[in-house]
Amino acid sequence: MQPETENIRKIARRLLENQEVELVIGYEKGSLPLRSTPCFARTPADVDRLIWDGTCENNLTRFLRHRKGRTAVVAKGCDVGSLVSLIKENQLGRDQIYIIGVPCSGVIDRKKISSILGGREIQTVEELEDSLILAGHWYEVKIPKEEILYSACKTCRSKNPVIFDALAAEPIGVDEASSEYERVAAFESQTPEERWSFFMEEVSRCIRCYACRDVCPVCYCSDCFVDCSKPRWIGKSTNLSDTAIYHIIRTLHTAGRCTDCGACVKACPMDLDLRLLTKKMEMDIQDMFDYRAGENLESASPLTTYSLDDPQDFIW
Amino acid sequence: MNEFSITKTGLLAFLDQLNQDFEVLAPVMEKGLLSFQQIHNSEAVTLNFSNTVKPPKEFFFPQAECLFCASCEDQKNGVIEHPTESSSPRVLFGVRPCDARSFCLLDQVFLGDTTPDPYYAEHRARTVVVAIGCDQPSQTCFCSSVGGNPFDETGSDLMLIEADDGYLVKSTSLRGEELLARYGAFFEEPSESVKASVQKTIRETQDSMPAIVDVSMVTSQLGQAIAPDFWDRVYEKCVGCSICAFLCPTCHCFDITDEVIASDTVRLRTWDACACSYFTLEASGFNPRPTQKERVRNRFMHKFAYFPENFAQIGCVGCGRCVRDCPVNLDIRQVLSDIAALEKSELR
Repeated sequence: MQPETENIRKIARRLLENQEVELVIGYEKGSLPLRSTPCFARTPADVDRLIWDGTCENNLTRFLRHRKGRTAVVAKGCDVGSLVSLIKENQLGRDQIYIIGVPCSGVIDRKKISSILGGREIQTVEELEDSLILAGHWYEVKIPKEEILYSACKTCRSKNPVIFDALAAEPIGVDEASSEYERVAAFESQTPEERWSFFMEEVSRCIRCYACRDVCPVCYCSDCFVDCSKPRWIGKSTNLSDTAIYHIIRTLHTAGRCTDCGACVKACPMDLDLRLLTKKMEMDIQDMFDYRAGENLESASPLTTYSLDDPQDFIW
Repeated sequence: MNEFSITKTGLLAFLDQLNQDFEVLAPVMEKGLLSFQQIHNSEAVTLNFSNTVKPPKEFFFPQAECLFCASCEDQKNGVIEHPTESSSPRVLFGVRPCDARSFCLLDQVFLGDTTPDPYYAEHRARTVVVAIGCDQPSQTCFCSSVGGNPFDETGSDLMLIEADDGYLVKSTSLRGEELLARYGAFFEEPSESVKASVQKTIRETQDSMPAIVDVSMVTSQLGQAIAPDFWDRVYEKCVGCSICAFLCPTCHCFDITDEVIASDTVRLRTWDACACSYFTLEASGFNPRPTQKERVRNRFMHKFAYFPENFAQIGCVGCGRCVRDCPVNLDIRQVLSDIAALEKSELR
């Protein structure tokens, strides 16, 4: 058992026994190899199902909305970043949540694995510190973890939660993050025609399931622009123009609030590279406002705060 | 029923010939995603695959369908026009038996006894379904738990089963028989070796896929008179997206809206999903399924209680797409197992 698992269970058990919280939201083993699933723990039996491993991909902070009472949540560094955004936007009170922070070195990209295996199915998984040993019918492979992390995890700058009430493990040493805007910069260097063409081809696969929106912690509007019919901002079909506008608008709506947790990419069944857009926004917000979402509770959120000396040179 | 055999090369040649006389839709791998696309050359077809990401229902029940349109421009004067789309004959090739079965389920809904849906009917009538039996079911497959099996012939016109270096080809409908007769030059009498190989494949595959969930225990009383808090334990992780409904071969709920651009208006039918918060939202503002609990419950009830009550068939073909792609791993098979487990204590 991973030490984090034992610690998470210990903390959760204590919190529920002392009635400090009514609910602990964590992860439990999923129904497929290399999958975990959200666990809503309220009893000692529930607590015994809580786990932590490299498959804990979901951003559980999305499940904190509209709750009464106090809730504990198991949160990776990126998830805690979402909490910071949510607290700043008054969607959650800091005292309403008990953050069980988990220092995380990355989560496994199950689609990347599926691609490496060429569709062969996994029967058994052995997780080592730096690699996974996967075996199935007539094969066994050892894959270094760094090859199969989600792209967001590879350039992660928030491995250690910036706020927490308890940590499930010792903080992780952080190396110099590799240039996280490399892909965006490379894309930006293309001509507008090339970029538009790539973008339109990418979104042509979109089936408008809205999973990207529904798993996103900061997409909490009770009346989303997508569902509004008066006025109708976008149509309901998969018309390419409407689909493109949907993604552009959602990216703009989450600008300055998105912490690159990657929940959208992980949820998308059609493998849309949504982080290309969100990362560009993050880069722009950084350049224009010297602000990074999710870093601390004190800094003022640029798009919801007005100050007389707001930069405006980019407006002209 | 006619049985023939065809080599892999022969099959590709057959597809190229079909392409002369039909619009051929087949599984194509593009950027790591497998989907049914129109092919112009058999080289584009992927033959070694599990299943497509999206189900083939879109060819009979498109995600967005223009029911009619009207324009105020010039002479058109607001007169209602019906869309004139292609009505050329099609072959839908490479359909798995679960998906072929789904067409029969959808037929119950759209071609019902009183008012058949003309749009659906037209798409169905012009399409020949060529199925490929599953000799390597996925971990997520559970067709045998919902009345199907990896070589089920329901819903197909031709069934291919891999054998030796080619396929056994069976006609599974009159239309399939006619197709085999028309293109007879591509097919041969199946050898004993091919027939024996196929029998072995069928036996071994079916043995490897026992029924794993008992769906007969789902009743509309669940969550009310029976196990009142059952759904409380199921729904919480559902985020209310439309992945399960959109990737499901049998989900068929839709919305109808009018979309207006300048002087043109289109009445559009689009896929809808009961997981969405506004699915049953009424104009008054009242929503009879106000929380995710009622919405998740509805998915199970519709597929395993109401649909069987209405059509004497389970409304699920066990393709496993929802299991594979649910972003929170809400596993339909697990919920069904939990329901079956209740039987010992609470259901009678």
